[in-house]
Amino acid sequence: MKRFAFSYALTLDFSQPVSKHTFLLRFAPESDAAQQVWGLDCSCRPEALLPLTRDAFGNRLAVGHLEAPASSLAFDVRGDCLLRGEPVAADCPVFCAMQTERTAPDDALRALAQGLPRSAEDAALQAAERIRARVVYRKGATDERTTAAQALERGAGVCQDMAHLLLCVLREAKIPARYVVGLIPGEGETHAWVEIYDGKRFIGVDPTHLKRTDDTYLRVSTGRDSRDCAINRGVFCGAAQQTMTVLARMIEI
Amino acid sequence: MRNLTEHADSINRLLSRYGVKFGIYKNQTFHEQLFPFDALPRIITHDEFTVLDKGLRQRVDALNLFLSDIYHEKKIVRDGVLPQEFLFASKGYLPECEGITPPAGIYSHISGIDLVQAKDGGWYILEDNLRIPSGASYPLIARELCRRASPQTFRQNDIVDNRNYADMLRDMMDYVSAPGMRVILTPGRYNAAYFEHSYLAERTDSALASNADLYVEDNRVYYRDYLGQAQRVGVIYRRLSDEYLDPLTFLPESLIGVPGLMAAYRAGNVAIVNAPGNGVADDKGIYYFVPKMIKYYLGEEPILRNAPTYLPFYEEDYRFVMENLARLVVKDVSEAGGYGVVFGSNLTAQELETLRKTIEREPRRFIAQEVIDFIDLPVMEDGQQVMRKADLRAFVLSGRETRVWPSGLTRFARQKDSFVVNSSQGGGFKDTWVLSR
Repeated sequence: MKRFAFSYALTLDFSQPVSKHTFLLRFAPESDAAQQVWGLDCSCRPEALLPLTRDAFGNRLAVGHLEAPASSLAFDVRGDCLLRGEPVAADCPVFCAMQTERTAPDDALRALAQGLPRSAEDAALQAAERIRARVVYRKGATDERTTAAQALERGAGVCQDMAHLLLCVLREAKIPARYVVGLIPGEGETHAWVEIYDGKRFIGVDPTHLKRTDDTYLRVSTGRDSRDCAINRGVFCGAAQQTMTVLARMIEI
Repeated sequence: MRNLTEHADSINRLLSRYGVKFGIYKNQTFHEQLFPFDALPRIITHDEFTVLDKGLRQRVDALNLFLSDIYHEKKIVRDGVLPQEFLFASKGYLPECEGITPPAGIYSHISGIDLVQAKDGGWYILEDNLRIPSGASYPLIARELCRRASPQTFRQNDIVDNRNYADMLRDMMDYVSAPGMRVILTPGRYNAAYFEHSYLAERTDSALASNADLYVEDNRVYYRDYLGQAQRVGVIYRRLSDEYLDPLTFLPESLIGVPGLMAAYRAGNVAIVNAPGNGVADDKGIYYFVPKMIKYYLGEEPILRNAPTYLPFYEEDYRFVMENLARLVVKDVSEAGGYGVVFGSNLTAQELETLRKTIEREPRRFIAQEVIDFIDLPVMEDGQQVMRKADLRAFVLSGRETRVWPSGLTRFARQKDSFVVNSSQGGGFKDTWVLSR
């Protein structure tokens, strides 16, 4: 059991002012058996109402609207958490069994799903090993839209690709699983991993670090794939170029 | 009747003047074409309509219960009535809509149910349209013009007045509405049914809005009027499809949607007519299961029949379809508007073989049906009465109660012996009279 302070800052800079900006912020980790979150504080500049609601995958999110022209938009979320690293007992949503465009298997991926152990947890760890034997971690090797099949073909990827690959293989092997975005200790970007369903509980498996998640993993959102867990999405009026800066931190206290 | 046919030309002229048109895309360009009106009405007797009315209400009630179940508990899947594969493979099933309970618990507010009458007089359901069924405005305005052209026809015959459609629509919208105004959301004038959007907005006293007139703040939807004043919106009758509805939830590249709409909807602060995600219930593959749904949810025997349908997904049906392909009609479940419909009898041996291979590869993508020999209706063509295939789209509105509009859109094929009546494929339309006695 460990205690952390976490924060997430996202800044969008526009080359010229944009107006009628409607944006979504999906960064409000919730408390459950694995994690206790308190003191969550969520704000943005320019100031906007950020009422919390939920999406279909159970994630809390806020949709804000800025009518007036602005040349930047900055979010700041912070809070404290106590992490236990325990599996979470829950019902399994049907989407965990469905492949998506990004996790869709090809023949090579179907082959990886053959002959995995019966236990969901062992299967997940073994599948992760198979994947990591074929795909090395390399920043910049892929982009946000890369699919599992493309990452395997390229033989390189980042945590998002590893998670898509593992989801693909597990779902192909009829093991329900979901994508997770969250934080691990340190400074930089958010992390991504997978939660598998063992019939009763969700168990976290991190294919990038080849291990079960422990009391250093803070889950922020879950979904079918990375798209459902996008931290920010937005639509605005204006012919502007957008630059995004992200700083995620989690420090033990 | 003669009175009406004599006026057919002037009615068609007026329809064209009022902009009663149907837009179609051909070779990537937009054409507006008239939706040809035939003055000879389809007549449904009182007794016949009594059965249709009961059967349609039953069907739509079951479909609404199905939608509620699918986006919540999924009992019908757990109880093994609907195989899970069908749910997952249906493009209309939107996991983004999981757990949403729409205002008043209604999903399909406006259901367009397509039926045909077989030569033995029996009615068969061809398909359910629960997303954005269009077409009610055409018989509505045609009736208006016919009454003007020949008032005595409507005095001498016992015809149920169908001019209450807009009132029914408005009542339904008010019943499901959150606090706020009524809006009809249109993708714009290049949409096939733009005439209908503007006409229904006028008749229901709703604002005709494009996405630029709407925005979401604090989980509420607002309409910006011509003075720039914001007014709260309570109900949106949207005429754009689910995937374009909210770029923050669905297709991010949608330029015609309202960003943040789904958050306001989920929070219960606005009603969306019809509910997003309804496509799962009018999927051509799910159609097969509707009679089972009626038994499952209502414990009743279906009053209206489905056309005999085979699902190549099932081993037994697969063999039957492969053997009888030449006399069946095959439909691609992911297509609409009469596209992706193939009559085995029109294919060469080689084309049949290609189709067999396609079905073999993707059995879930197709359904096969017996070709129903449905009745021809008389149509005036160059002063001559000719017989043409026709179907009926009945409109069922679900608000405080489920009501069938005592009329409907009768569409007919323009070519002899053609079964394809869709307006997007050049079909024409007729008024539909329901007799009061």
